[in-house]
Order: sequence, then C-alpha cells, then structure tokens
Amino acid sequence: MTCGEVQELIDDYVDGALTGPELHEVELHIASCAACREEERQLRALIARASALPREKAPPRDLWPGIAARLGEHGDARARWSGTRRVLFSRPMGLAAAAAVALALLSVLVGRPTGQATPPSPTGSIETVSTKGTPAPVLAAETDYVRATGQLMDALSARRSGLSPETVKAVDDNLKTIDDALRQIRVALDKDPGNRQLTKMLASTHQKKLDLLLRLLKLTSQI
Amino acid sequence: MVAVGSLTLTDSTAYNPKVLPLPRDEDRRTREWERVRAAQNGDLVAFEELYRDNVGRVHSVCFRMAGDAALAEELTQDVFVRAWQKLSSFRGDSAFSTWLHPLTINVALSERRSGRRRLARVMHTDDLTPFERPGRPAGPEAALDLERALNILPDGAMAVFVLHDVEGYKHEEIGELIGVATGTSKAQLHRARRLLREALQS
Repeated sequence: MTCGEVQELIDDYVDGALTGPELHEVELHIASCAACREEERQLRALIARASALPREKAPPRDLWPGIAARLGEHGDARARWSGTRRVLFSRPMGLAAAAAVALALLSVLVGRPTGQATPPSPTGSIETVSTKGTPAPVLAAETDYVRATGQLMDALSARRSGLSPETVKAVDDNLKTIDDALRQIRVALDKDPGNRQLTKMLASTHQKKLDLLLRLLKLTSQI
Repeated sequence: MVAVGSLTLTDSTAYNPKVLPLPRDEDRRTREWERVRAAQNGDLVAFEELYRDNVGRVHSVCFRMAGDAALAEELTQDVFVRAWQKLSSFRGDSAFSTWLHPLTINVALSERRSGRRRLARVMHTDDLTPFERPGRPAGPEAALDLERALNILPDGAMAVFVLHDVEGYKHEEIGELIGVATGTSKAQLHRARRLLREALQS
C-alpha cells in the first residue's frame, strides 16, 4: 500500500472503521512509514482535542427574556392557569395586562389579596410613581406593578438569609440597574406622555424586575 | 409523611414500588415529560424550565457552528422559538434534549446556508492572528484555539466535523441529519481535519 492509498483510508483507520485486509495493510504501512505515522499521530491528537471540548457552554447572558418576548410577539404563548403556576406572557403584552398578570401571580405565590397594598421594601423597589402627565391607564397599571413588586420584595426579604452573599449582591445590583432604567424611562415619559414605545419599554422593564423577583422566590423556595 | 416529587412516602412504608421514589434518571425523565406536556398545552413557565435545562447544550452547538458569540445567542433563541412552535410533534419517544439536538443543528445550518448574517462572521473570521503565533498552547487555551479554528472551515466540512468529532454522531446519522450521502460526510470530515491541522500548526 502506498502513502497516497493510506491517506485515503487514514480517517477510517483512526475512527476504528477499517476491518479485514485493509486494516492489516494500513497497519503494516504505518509501522514502516514515519510520515504516515506522524499523520496518524496528528489526527488522533486533533480528534482527542475535539472530543474533549465541553458539551455545554452557557450563554454569557440570560436569553430567556428575548425568547419569551418573541413568543409573545408571535402570539405563540397562550396565557393560562396551570395548577398553581401562571404563564407570564400573553399577547399583546401591554402594561395593564402585564400588571394584572403580576397581581394575579402574587395572589398565588405570596398568598395576599391583590387589592391590599403593602408598602414596598426600601431596597430595590420603586417607592413612588410619577403622576406628571402620565395617562391614567398607564399610571394605574404602573401602580399595580409597584405594589406587586413591593409585595414580592417583602416576601423575599424574610428569605434572603438563605441566599449566599454573592447571590444577594447580584440580585441587588440587578435590581438597582432595573430601577435606574425605570427612572430614566419615567423621566422620558413625563416629557412625552403619549409615546407608545416608552410605555412598552416601561412595561418590559417592570416585567424584567418581576421575572427577577419571581426567579429568586422560586430559588428561595427550593433552599 | 414525606413528599418526594409527585410521590408520597409514609412512615410505615417498608417496601412498596408504587410509592418508592423512581430511580434518578427515570425521575428526571418523568419531570421533563411533565414539563413538555405542560408546555405543549401552552405553559410558558414549563417551557422556560426546559429552556434552562437545555440552553447550555444548544448554545454550545450554536456557538461552534456560528463562530460568533452574538450570532450564537441569536441562533440559540431561534432554536427555542422553533422548538416551541414544533413542540406538538414531540411524542416523548426520546429525551427532550435528543429531540432538540437535530433541531439545533438544522437551525444553525440553515443560518450558515442562508448567509443572512454572514458579514459579521466574515469580519470575525478574517482575524487569523491567533493562528499565527508560534507554539501551541495546551489545556483550555488549546480548546479555544480549536473552536476559533472551526471558523475557517467551509460550511459542510465544519458541520460534519462538529457532528462527528465533537458531538459523536456516526456518518450514517450525519447523512440523515443534514441530507448528504455517507461518502460525502466522510469526504467532508477528511477535508475538515486536514484544514484544521494546517490551521493549528501554522
């Protein structure tokens, strides 16, 4: 067998797919040919490196909010009750609808009547809602949201001791970022109260905060 | 009385297969199937749990086949949107991850074939400086080099290499998955390995 013929079979050889006379001839050639031996060594090294690559590689950021938003946009997500769980998205995901979902969810998870307001926790929640020029439906929905997140923060405050300091810090940092964004959007809405894009951003940012708190609530429930 | 998943153990339980916990793998499959059924009925929370269980695997394949971090994220999202849309076709004959894997490959391959977002990838892969430095690193850096080197491969060769040498598929399975003959798959693998060895040695 020549080097050229071995080259044509060498992948099957290193993959263990050769049998019978072909296998024997390739083995004989490689035993006597330094160049083909080196070729075999390099191939095996490459295959070993490839098979050692990690099978899992988490994305650097959480992709779920984007996926959920796309499912909501396409009308693929059908809001419904499932035992004690509640689907978070429905179409269209307006601020009022989202706030209603948030309050319904709270009544299940926290067990408080949705009509009772609870003062929000001082950390990581919006304490006041601007009324300057804000359309009444948006204002009402946002008030519900603030109440919902406040109640969740209260429910979580008693469970924070079960979380690692790193987790608590990460949550606080995230909440601060979200709250900063909410303030900026609200300032922009004060200047342009009819801006639907800003209203949508306000809804999605509130939803992000709610998602974060709900995830944390789930986490603390599992500890 | 102790609740174990959806089962219940009582203090008087000595041995009763109806109430003892299932083996771990089977229990996991059962929970997964419950989530799938719930998601098939529109439960997005259940689908999010399936996403969280599988996103690492999906993203790793997308990252290798896309060769670009931002594109890999986009493809990963595409995979789960497609999975949601096709979820009714999943009958539970295999693990959800097994059903999801070909879907992931096809989404990633469709992207490569469409060339829709190719510009970003071309710009990314034009930077071959990592392959020009003398001496090859070992350990995690070597893995990183290999992952970057995948970007220089033509689409077909890259897909077959990832499926065969990284994911462990056989040529016959690859043929069915991406619609090529077994001989074509072998030829593409040979080409991919040769190009990769050249790139990693340069």
